Amino acid sequence: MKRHHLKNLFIEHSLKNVLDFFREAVFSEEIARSRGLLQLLSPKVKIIILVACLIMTVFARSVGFLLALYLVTILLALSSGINIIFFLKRVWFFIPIFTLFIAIPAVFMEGWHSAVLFVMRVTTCVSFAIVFTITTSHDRLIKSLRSVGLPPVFVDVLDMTQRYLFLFMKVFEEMHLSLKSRLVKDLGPKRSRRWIASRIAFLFRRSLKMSEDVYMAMLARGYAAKEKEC
Amino acid sequence: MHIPDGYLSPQTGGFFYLFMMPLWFAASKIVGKTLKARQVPYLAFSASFVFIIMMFNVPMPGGSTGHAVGGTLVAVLLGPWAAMIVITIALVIQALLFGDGGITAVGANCFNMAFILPFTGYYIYRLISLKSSRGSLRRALAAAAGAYFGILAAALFTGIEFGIQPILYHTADGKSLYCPYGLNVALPVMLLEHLLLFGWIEAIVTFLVIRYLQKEDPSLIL
Repeated sequence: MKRHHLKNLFIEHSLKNVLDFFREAVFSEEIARSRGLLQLLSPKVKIIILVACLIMTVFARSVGFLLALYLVTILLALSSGINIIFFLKRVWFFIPIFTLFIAIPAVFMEGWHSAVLFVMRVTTCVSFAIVFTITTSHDRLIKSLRSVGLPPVFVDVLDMTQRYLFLFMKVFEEMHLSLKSRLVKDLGPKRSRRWIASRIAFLFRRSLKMSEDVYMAMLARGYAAKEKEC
Repeated sequence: MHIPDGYLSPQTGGFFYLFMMPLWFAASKIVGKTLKARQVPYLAFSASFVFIIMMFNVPMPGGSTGHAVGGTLVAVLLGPWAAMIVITIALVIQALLFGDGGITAVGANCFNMAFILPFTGYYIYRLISLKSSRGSLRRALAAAAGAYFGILAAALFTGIEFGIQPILYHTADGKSLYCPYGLNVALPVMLLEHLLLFGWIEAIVTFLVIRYLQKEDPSLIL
């Protein structure tokens, strides 16, 4: 049994990807609905503040200033009801840890200042991005992009992608679970790759079919008429 | 391949946003002309499809697993301009909702993965496949070659973007402010891992999907 699990590792890895996706989405919705400082702000205001904070962070040239900005992200997380351990874990895994790892040789090449500046800048940027996006409902965040000047068609596509992504993820998960339940031994790398290719092709055909169905449903609800009015 | 915030200077990030704007505009005009009102669901479902391709873990020789980007595959199925839009949508969602790739680096990530990758891959595919039939092995091999060199080209540009940071943006005493590795380190690292591993994942997945579609429904291949 242990051997079976070790051999068909690609199924476990793919299922973990789906689990991470759903966990991330559920956590974000839960935090976005709780009470806190950032939850009081409208998504439009949050996007503007987030972009301003990111620009300030990428322009910063001193470690002290970056440290102060990083502390601001922690204060924002605390005042928005985010569990600080969860926040630190969420921030540091994976980009800042990876950045820390690749910055170690830079200490010897460029000196500690450059390496610390690099790691602090990346960590602060990731922290700002997470604290603002995790306190906003995904749905409202996407819709608010329209009010910051993005083309309506682009926002419509983003909105629809975000919603149907969950359906695709569910199908993706079921595909892997059904394969896992049918397997009694190792599938082998060749057959595994063929199975993956067939599922990608299936999902492509399904996406075309569903886009046509949704378009018909949109027409039935007067989508084209609305476009003409605009 | 997803560049996080803080790796590139704001000037570099801004440059790629400005560079991509006319390309996004041209892509939306070209795609809008053929799809009209159908474009919203078509692009949304295709973007979901691109997102899903990146979720598949593919077993590789040696026991490791990795995931494909699917840039050339999508370009061969939808055309390079539609591919540019749907990969952009997937990258924006990844950056904005899931922290995968930086918000200030969206322009650079789109340049590498939504422009360089699908266009290089697609035109290599067209060049090699010439007038071969949709069901031919040559087409599938052409798509695989396109996928391999497409991701390699994207890795090359990513390496250049990292590598020019210490040259262009440094303190008065020459210490780097952003990605600390020059072209002599960033380029070989980016190219080697794509030459040896990720390029092959991209090529194998693209080849197998095209072969499958050639048997099931060749009309779906451009």
